[in-house]
Amino acid sequence: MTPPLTQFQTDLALALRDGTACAIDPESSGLRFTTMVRRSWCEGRSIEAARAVLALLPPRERHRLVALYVDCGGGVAAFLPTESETLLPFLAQRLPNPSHALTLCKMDRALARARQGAADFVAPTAKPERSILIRGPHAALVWFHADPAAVMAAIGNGPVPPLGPPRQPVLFAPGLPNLFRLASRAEAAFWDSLPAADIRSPVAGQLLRDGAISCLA
Amino acid sequence: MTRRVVATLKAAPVVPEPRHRQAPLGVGFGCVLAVPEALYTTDLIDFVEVTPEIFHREALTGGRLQLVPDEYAYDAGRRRCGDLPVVMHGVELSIGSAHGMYEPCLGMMDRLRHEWPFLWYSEHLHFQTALDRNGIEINTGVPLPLPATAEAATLVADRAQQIQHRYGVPFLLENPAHYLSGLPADPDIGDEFGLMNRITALSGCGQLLDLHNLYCNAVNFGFDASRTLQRIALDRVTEIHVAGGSWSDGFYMDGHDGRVPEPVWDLLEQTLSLAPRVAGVVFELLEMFLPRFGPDRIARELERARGIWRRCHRATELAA
Repeated sequence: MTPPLTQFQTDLALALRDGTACAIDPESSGLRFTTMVRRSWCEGRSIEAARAVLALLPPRERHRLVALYVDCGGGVAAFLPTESETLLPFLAQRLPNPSHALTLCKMDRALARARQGAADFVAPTAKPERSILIRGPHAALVWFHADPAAVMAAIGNGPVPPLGPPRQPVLFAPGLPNLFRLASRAEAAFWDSLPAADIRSPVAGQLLRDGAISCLA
Repeated sequence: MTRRVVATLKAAPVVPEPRHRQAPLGVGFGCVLAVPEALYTTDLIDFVEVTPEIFHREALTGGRLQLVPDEYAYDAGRRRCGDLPVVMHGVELSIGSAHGMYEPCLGMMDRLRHEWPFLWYSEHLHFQTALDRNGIEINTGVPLPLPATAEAATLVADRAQQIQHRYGVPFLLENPAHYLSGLPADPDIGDEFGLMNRITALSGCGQLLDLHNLYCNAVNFGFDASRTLQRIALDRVTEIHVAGGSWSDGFYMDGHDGRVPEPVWDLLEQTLSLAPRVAGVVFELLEMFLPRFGPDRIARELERARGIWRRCHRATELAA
């Protein structure tokens, strides 16, 4: 008598994840090997989903965080952006603050959010006379603690620049050609002041056009 | 983001009856952007096999999970195919999941049918999602084989038939490589080959015969792949995959990570001489292994596949 298909699939999926019983002999080398392959795939997907962030971590710490994530049930999403949506917040809670890895973690999340907003983004044609300005729902400002170019080069095996105080703000927004650009100190200060009613700020017009800020309806 | 799966297909639109016999194309290769464009020439390949999920991402649109084109890869993928014929080879449908398939794939294929026309559509005979004890869907993390039961055969055959009608082109199912012995089986179906035969007979769909998967299972479970070909409904085989693999912990893995082993080339020659309706042979290589493998070696594998294809086709034509 064969088990119903639903039961067979539930039992096998849980056996591979949790080591519980299923229709396959738990001592069989095939089940053990499949469990190992599954683990390897989950870890591989996780590494791929946060490649830049993990590249800046020492190997032992990288393996520890990935293993912890997979232990918590991560690494199974079919699409990498979907995996990143879960993994990056997981890493953000566990990375040293400040660190270049945390900066890249924030950057990857900001890029994903800006990309989500880019499909439907329409730049406003005129600046309103009166309004409350707020941060755009698909925008973020990330501070780098070294020259951003040097931090990016470190992902590709370049030397890791020393960690200093917040040095360069980078803006991520759906209306930007590459979804990001360096921000000025004035823009960063304005960003920090939001929500604000200062519609006459000299930086407000450009930030509105970039999709970095929006008007409260 | 939560995957939402529905158990039933939408009513199939009225489409022409699928053509069971596809005109022979020749040898194909995957649509891989990391491979030099120069490889995508009719000097080397006759068609391109596109894995559509590579060029899409999940997005919640109006509260509904959909697969939307990736802004950066989608157009590049279409350009890469140029004027070469295209076939689609999906990887995420999970056609064997008892509780339901991954519906966004079907929506994606609905759109691709018009935007990126294809000659046939193939998927894997396996499941990638299941329900946990609370009835919540979980991803298995790795594709898993189906039991050789009448219930599994009927479930997949019904879905395959509807998909074939939905897109109006042949739908093919690929035999999987796996490492699990002792899968449940009904006596009248027997094993994975009996299961595939039952599904293709019930549904009218075709088979994508992955010869490297067959070889892997033969090596790991200790049966003769060449003799097993006699048990496969070869008149249903429309496409063939060849690939390379590697050993790990005592198992031969379907890694798509290297050259095609000699026994698989032998199986290709044997299959092409026996299967009357094969329309294409694809050499598979995972993108992550491209730097190690290199374009010259890809070209050599494709040339060898083409040589076998031409030799077998000449022989078939002479026999006819």
